[in-house]
Amino acid sequence: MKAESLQQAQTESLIGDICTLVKARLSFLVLITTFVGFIMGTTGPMDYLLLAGTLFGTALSACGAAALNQWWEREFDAKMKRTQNRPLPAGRMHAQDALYLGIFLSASGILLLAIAANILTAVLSALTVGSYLFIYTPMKRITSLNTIVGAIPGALPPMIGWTAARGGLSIEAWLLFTILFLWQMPHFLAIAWMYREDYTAGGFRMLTSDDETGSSTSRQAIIYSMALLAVSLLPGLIRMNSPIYFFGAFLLGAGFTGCAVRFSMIRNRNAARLLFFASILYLPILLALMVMTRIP
Amino acid sequence: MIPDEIRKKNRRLLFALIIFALSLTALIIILMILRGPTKTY
Repeated sequence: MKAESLQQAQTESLIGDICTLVKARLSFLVLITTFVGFIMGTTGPMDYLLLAGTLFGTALSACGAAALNQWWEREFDAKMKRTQNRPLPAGRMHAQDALYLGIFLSASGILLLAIAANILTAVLSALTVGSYLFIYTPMKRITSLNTIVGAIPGALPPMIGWTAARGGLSIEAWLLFTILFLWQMPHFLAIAWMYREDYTAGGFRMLTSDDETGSSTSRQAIIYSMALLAVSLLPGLIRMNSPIYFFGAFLLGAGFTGCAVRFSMIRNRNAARLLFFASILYLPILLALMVMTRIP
Repeated sequence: MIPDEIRKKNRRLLFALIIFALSLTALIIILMILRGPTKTY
């Protein structure tokens, strides 16, 4: 019995390692935003097989990019408390296994998107993986602007969903991109300020690195959350969504901006954590509202 | 010290993940081929 539970614990830990390697939670968020893009881009009856192909292709490339990112950063991850227990720095996985898995998943995801959806969708997916790995990842140790650059691959998934459903880009797709781009800034600023010492130890240059008091970080968080509030209202104004969306997005944005303002006034870890949790709540609620109130 | 056994088990699990990914990819492509073109854009 004891041997059985040990075996089960080991299996759970192995599955946990795979989930960490492919950044399961982040990849799931990528899927949600892709799904929203697909729904918003759909006109007429839903093509469920196309949806399945789009989501699975995106999942493969997101998981692949995460594995390649961890393969690339394994030595830096070992220096940070937050990441030193990941399977590669902890030595529970061969580095080359992660590399081969990452290449396989990314390539097959992009290929599946090209076959199941269209070439533009595959190109956008390749751009997401490429900019995440070859621009954002090395930039993390060169310039503090990496957060802004990193927000680009983070904002592309809804466009991937949109182009898979619609076949091309339009103003609505760019709106989704901008909303996701702006949302990431206060979200990552809050994380980066909370873990600023850890990031410095890992050799990362963050916007928060020299901001011990949090004044610059919180000021930027306010600017981005206000810009997000303004842009998030546009789908209600261009008849992409009904007026209910407009008022809902206004309330959500006002609450989110309020958390950023509170952070600028209090400037402690708890206020930064509240802003982080507000960002986690804000996005799924806004996206759900967007889907529910869309005007087809 | 991490035993090599853990790394071997992880390698087997990664291989299983690749097989799963390939199977599902193939299934989606086959279903799309069987259904034929439907895109209207």
